Amino acid sequence: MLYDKGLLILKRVMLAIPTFFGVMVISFCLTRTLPGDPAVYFAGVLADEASIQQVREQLGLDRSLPYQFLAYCQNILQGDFGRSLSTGQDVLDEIRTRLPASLELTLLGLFFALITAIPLGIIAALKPNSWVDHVCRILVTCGASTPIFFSGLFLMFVFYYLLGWAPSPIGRLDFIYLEPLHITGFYTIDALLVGDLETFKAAFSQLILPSTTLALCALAPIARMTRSSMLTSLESEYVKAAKANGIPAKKRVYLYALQNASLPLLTVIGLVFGFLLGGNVLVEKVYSWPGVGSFAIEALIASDYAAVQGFVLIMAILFVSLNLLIDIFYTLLDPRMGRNE
Amino acid sequence: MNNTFETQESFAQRLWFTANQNILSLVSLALFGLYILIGLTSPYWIPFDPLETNTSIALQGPNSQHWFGTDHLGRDVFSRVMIATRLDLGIAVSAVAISFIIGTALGSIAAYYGGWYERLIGRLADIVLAFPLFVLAMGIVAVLGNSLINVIYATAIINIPFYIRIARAEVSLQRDRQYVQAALLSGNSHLRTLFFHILPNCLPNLVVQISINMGWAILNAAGLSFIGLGVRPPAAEWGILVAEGADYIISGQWWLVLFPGFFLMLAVFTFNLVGDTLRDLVDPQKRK
Amino acid sequence: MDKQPLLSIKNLAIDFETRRGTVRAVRDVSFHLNRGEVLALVGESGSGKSVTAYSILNLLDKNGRLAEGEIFYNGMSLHNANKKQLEEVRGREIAMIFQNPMSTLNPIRKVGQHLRDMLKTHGYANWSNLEAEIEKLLHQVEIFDVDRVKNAYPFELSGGMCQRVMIALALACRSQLLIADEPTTGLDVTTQKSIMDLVHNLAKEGDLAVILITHDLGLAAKYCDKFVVMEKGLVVEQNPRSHFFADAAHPYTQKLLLATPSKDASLSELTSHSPDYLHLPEPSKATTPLLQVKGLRKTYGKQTNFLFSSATEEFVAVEDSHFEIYSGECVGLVGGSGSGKSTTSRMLSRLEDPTSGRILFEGTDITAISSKDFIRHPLRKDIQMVFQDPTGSLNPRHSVFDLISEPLLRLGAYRSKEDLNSKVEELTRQVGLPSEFIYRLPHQLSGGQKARVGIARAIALQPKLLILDEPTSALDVSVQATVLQLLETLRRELGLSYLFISHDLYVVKMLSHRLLVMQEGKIVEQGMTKEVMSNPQHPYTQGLMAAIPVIEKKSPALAEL
Repeated sequence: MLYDKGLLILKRVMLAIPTFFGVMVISFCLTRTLPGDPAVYFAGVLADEASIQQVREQLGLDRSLPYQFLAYCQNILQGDFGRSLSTGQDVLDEIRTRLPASLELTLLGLFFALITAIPLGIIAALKPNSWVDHVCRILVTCGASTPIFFSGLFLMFVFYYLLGWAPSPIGRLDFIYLEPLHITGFYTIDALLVGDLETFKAAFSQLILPSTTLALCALAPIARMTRSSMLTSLESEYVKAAKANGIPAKKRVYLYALQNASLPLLTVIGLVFGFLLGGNVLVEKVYSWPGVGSFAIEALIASDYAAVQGFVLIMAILFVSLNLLIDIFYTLLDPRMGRNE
Repeated sequence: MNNTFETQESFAQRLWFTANQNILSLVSLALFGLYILIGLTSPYWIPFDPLETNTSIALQGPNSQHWFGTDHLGRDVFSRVMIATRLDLGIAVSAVAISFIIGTALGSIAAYYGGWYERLIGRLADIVLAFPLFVLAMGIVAVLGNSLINVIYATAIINIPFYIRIARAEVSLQRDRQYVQAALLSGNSHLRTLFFHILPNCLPNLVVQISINMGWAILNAAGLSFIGLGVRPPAAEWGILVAEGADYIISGQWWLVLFPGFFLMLAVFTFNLVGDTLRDLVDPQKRK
Repeated sequence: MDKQPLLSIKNLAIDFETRRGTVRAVRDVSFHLNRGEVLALVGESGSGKSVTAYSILNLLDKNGRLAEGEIFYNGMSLHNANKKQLEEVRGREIAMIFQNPMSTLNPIRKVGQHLRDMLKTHGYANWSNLEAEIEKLLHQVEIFDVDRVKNAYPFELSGGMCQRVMIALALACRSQLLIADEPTTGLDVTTQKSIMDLVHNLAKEGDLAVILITHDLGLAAKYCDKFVVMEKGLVVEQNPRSHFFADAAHPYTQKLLLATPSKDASLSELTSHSPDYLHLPEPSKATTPLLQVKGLRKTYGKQTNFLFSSATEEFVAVEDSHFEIYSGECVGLVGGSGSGKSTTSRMLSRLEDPTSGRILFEGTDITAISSKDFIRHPLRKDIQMVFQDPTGSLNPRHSVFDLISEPLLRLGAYRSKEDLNSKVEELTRQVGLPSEFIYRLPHQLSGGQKARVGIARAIALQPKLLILDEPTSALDVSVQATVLQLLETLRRELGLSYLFISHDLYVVKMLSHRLLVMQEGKIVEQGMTKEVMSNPQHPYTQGLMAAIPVIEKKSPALAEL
């Protein structure tokens, strides 16, 4: 059985390769369909004819498309995502330094969403069409309908302007604190690691509003999925049979139904993560958060296409990798995987 | 046992029943009508020119003359929010129409013919879905050029995979039913069977998807314009209105964000609820 | 032994809340059951038999409610038991097994875990004797490779095995009463026999009381001591075995008894009135075959694609079949699930291309025409088909008129509206559908009416060969009887040839002149129906005949069986 699972996981990894390849193709197409002559863009505004020509040769734009694609792939595999026009820095370096800020936000948001949405979904599924279910339905629909930038601004207005509970909604840390020693890049974790509780508190309180904003929009899909997969397994014949066999209600719900319902939930978490990576861009703009999203917006405004493309590609790779991880996890958890396929 | 007491009702009866049973559904249907009405007629009755600036009345809170207050250039927020309805709904409708047509065609061909078609089209959908969609939309608009039509294209492209998937799932479910074989035996060609026998039976679930996608498309377009893509100022669009007001929220001018933001949210809310209502109608057993 | 019955139900009534108000599904049901007795709760779909059984353990759906009546189990009243009391009774005193054994076991729990859950919940074992207890239980249900089954997930076992595990679960806590809700529907006849034999033995040797809910009177006749017949929520007949067959008084029971196929009953005896076809002459049989099947073979490539090496594993669905059908005759094709009979029917109807072999239709090799081109071929109208699932084979959005006129419009030469109308009307009359039905949609028809629409559509173009792919297996027996008679009438009237495919030997033999028996893709026996039935040669045929439960109506010894 272990052998079967190992093979299946290997197969999943192999299956991800064409997806990565496809992502590269799309990303390549995006760079090569830039309006006008890409060389002009990459050479910069002040470039003269000679330097444009130089860039063109440098980028291999005078060669055939397949050749260009191969060169592009080679660059990517070597970690060369191009150079940002506005800062002159390597795009990968820029994103690498900013990524922890975004991930800290996204993961905390996902965590908040999970701890509220799953119980909500379970309660709603246990009493379908009761008032709890209806409240849950309204909450969930509201969550799914609220534009993330609007809920961000709304929370800011209430908790910063009106109530004054939240710190000034700018950046990861109030300027009176020093950045903690760089270990993981996550301020909260780094502060804890060096034992600086004061900084931890400050960093965490900066995180609360933006990550709650993210959590609000991630709530809906997770709660919906929890409810529906719980309902499916609660109404299933095996739960009915368990009831007929006198298995007590608690065990039926938490062992039989929840265990089966948790599998589809896992897939949704992957989906939600992609959703949050997009939402991040908006939240980072609202809260002036110095993450990859802000970087991408700055790049967009400066027409810095290399940076934008690098950002898109890196986010996609991150997302595909996470989904691969979830697939592997799923394979390990579901006994039906790997046999009888 | 299930269908013992099932009595057959007409569509209108079921719609009425569903709406009555659930007050929210009734409200959502009413709001849906209201939005369409505003979208169609707003240019004829808004009290102020949405583009006219008057700095002497800048940043006034809501009052009897300016119900939603005025912005930093003294423009009437109410008029701007109302006129924006047309643009936002227009973007969403066109984007969803494009993705529905392309996605459904591709998805049903994939499911019906199977083999290479299915592998190729399925792969295509998977690859688009491998991107965080909002991020991909940003990339597409950046590349195609920062314009309204490109926002529509980008929104359409990121929605296509959903239609491919749902059409594919629906068609492959129907394809194995025996009425399809019966249609072939009666002399229908494969293409005719697909479009005249199978697809009409998939339509209800596709319509549900359309309604839910509408809300999604609105959110996506508004998000893009919030970060400065697509619609350009001074044009009135909900995302831009919120973005313009964002700078004033920490100094307490809440109405600039609240009204357009709320209107946007309510629109998406309406489409989502209408989708839910339709789903209840299509498949009362499975509200998810 | 005490005289008090183990279970007694008095004047039971069950209500369901629906959109249209309260509906009484079951009224005034009373019966009782002793230890070691097997009671059959027989009825057709919608008769309320399942609802009655589910109410015993209060397992009704949320909108259902026990409205009136009393249920006593071993002196304890169940009709007003609270939640806790019910949980004590469920699984411990009364256990249930269900229709789809595969889906009634938790898919992600191993068989051993299921049994452990049961034993622990009801405190029937502790850690020291748990495994021994499990082994004992599995032995009881005749599972002997205990280690494999214990560590298997339900999806790794066959349907029959899963049902055995369900029975083991029911026995785990020494339940006194087993409620079996159609426990063998969907299983092969041979598996059905072994499961039912097991249940029967447990009842006789273990003093277990059993309620068998079934639509199959043949099955009930073979295994039950007592019969409760339900129709439309009412008990219409209730008798012990010794009286049941001789004394069946209620017309519904008589109808049911008649309609149930048996060893020696002929088609005309399935209904009380004599059918129309008796006065029609048997169509003359041609000497040259209408259809010749030569070396027909179908394999499916199962691609096991791993990494970059892809191996194609071949699965043989139909292996080297040879047979003929002569004009005017009905040939029966019998086999279990997975025997290749449906694949054969799809190839003959040219919906699918064979891997090799030839099909000659009136001398023309129709395998030379691809299934795609056959759609427009002039021979298309000569080979038509009636499908198994009367609901699934009708497009839910088309009216009866649309459905029947479809082949006329696509393949026939009906251009004028009057011609079309009169033809459709003629067809509905032929299959016995009231003409006011032609504007109804499929969901407004009953199962039998839907089957008639399917038949009307298939005969619309006067095909020379009609393939009947399990045309009655989804129908209630009484409806099955009339549909079978209709098919016979049409064959004689229109001179059609049939290939009748079914899993039920006793249904097929009533219509067929000749029989083909198929097993694992091969035709293992063929011959004249009478000869095959009286003297089966192949062990598979013999096994089939032994496994199918039937009422041996004419035999007076039945009561003592």
